[in-house]
Amino acid sequence: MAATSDANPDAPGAAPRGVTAAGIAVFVAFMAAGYAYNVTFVQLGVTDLGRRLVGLEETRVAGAMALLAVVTAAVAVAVGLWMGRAGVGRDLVRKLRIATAVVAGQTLLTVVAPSVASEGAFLAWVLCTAVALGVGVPVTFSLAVDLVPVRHRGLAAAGVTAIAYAFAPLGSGDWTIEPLARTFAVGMLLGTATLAALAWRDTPLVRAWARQHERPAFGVGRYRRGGADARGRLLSVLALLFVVFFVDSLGFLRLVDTPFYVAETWRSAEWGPRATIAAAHVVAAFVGGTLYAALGERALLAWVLGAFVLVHLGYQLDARLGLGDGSVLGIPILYAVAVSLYTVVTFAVWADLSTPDTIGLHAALGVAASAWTATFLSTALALRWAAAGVPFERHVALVNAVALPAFLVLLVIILWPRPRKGAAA
Amino acid sequence: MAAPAEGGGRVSRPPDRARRAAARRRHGSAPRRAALALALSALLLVGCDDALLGVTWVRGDQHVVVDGARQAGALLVTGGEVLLAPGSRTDGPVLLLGGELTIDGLVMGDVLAPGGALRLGPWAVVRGDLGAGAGFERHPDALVEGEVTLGLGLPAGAAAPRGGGWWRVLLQALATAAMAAAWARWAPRRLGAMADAAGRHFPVAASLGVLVFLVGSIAAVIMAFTIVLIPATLLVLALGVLAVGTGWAALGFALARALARAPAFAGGPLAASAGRPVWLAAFGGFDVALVLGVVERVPWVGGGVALLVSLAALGAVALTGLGGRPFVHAGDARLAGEA
Repeated sequence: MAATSDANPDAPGAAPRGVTAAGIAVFVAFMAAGYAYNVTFVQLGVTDLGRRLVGLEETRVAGAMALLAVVTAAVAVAVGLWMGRAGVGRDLVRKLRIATAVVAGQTLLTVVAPSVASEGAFLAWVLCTAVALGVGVPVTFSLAVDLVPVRHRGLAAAGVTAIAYAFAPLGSGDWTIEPLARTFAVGMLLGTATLAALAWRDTPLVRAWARQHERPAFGVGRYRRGGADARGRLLSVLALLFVVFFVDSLGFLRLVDTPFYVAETWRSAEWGPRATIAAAHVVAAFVGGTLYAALGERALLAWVLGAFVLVHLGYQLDARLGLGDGSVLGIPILYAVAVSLYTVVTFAVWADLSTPDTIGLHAALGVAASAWTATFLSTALALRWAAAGVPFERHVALVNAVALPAFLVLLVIILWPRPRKGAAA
Repeated sequence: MAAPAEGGGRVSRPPDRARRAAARRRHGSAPRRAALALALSALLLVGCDDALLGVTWVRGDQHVVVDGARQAGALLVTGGEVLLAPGSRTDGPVLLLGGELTIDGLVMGDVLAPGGALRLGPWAVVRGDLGAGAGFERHPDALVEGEVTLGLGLPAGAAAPRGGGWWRVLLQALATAAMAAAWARWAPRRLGAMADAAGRHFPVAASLGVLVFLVGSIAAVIMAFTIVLIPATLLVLALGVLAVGTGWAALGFALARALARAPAFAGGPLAASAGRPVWLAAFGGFDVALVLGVVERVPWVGGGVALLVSLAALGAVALTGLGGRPFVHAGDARLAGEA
């Protein structure tokens, strides 16, 4: 019973429900905005900035993306280590102040982005962006141990995913740097002001949030309870998510560059297809949030990787048969579902593998070393293949060549006989 | 009388069998897992490459199999013009989805033409069955040795709500009741595990049901396009329907069990049946199928509600591996471990 009450955010001595709910809402809003910025503005915008505005060749842009990935990962891990040693993971106010500085810096970078005109300026911009991201990732992810109770992390992650992805397809579909910079700059100015108010004004709400990590209901992640092997689990989740991010990005970057496949789906002139994709993202996010809390992480990751394998097999089949844009096979919907599922896992799992002392490093390793590195390395590879004239069908086949063996290895790991502990499916 | 437990209610087992059973409990059934992994791998690999499939896809332009030539494997036509000339031979099945196909030679397999324009010339011989949609012309001398089905393709209004199908609803309810009774009679623990998953973890079951349905249906469509996997597609669809029916039965059992324990029904015939799981299951299965049959006819929301319940039923079957293991919520399991 002790364990039950420990893990209950409503247990005696807990903050009022409104405080917890407000904390979850702030976390969801902040992370959703940050994720939309990183995925849309940085990943897609940098490509447009380098290729169209600066006029670089694809291989040069690919090199800049790789530089961004490496610097982001290195800075994030360094900041994560520093957070653990300096005890920043337990200090909500310091985290909020660092986050405010990061968002202010990113706002400035966003405003100046359309003015970047030379390769040197572009590389300097990429380096500054990488440093901001590297600092921001461990700091913002570590807010989970202060603001979101363990039992609600799946649904909080679902909220982040649903908001971040619902608006992307419903937007104009113009993913060039100028409109993206205008849209994000306004939102980020508001975000900076809100964060600054939370970080520098001494309010009862922030004081209550700052104490929450001391309770096991917030401070001890789901996978750290009962003497679980945290390091082994961290490594296996890192490896699996690296593969998932790599496969996703390697395939999607080429899809985005193939008008045939996005003209009637993600970038459709009609509102209907984009609304359908947005709805699929939202439904899948809440499906993922529910399943994240209920299933073991291996089963969930197997579903995610399996869905991606099916997506790429579907696109390969579609390309060979010339059926259309994948819609005949329902592939864009499945793609949206798979992306939402793994995003939910990403937003919840690092905090659940951690305590307040390790959350900075684990989030840094997870998001930077796994997600960012995989995403940008695959982006760089996709750009190189595009520059080398690899046709779409061949590109998807190569993605399958990575995804299919990975899925089969995962399947073998999952189905491999092991002693049962009466745990969930 | 309570239904006997699975395994025939034997009390003692020979020592080696007991050891094996204990090992299975600890490690799961390794051969079954390995077989499943192999089957899945085979399915995925078969869908990967032309060489494995032996399929010729015609997407555009002209494709002619001339007199005396042999077209090995299956033929898939999605566009362009294809002529199987007199004296030619096509080994595998032929699927026409778009474009024009003229058969004037020998086809050893089935011909399926839900789309495009299909013409059978005077020298055409089809050894298998033939199914065709609207764009079908047949010369009087053309020979089809198998069954001919015309009017393939989705009829207009097929997606509209079905009306006047009350007999269908009743038959569906009776079939679900019979299925539930059979599960309760011969595998009560499995039915109980599925009922627990569906009744106590409805959101989880519905969520997993969404995934199973989406992935399963898209995989089935992809497999169907490879032609050689059409039998596997049909098998997947049949298993899906059976799984939903089983899930309905489990949901019905959960519902009837809850009602039998409810104070409002104390002293009634349902409460009196509390110790008779076969009757409870049949009653619950019948009710759930009947209610869903009625609910799905409610405009706007009915179809969605029926779909959600059916997805939860499917999810409950998947969560428990057809009732083979009780579903324990990961959060509950972890808390129990700590306590």
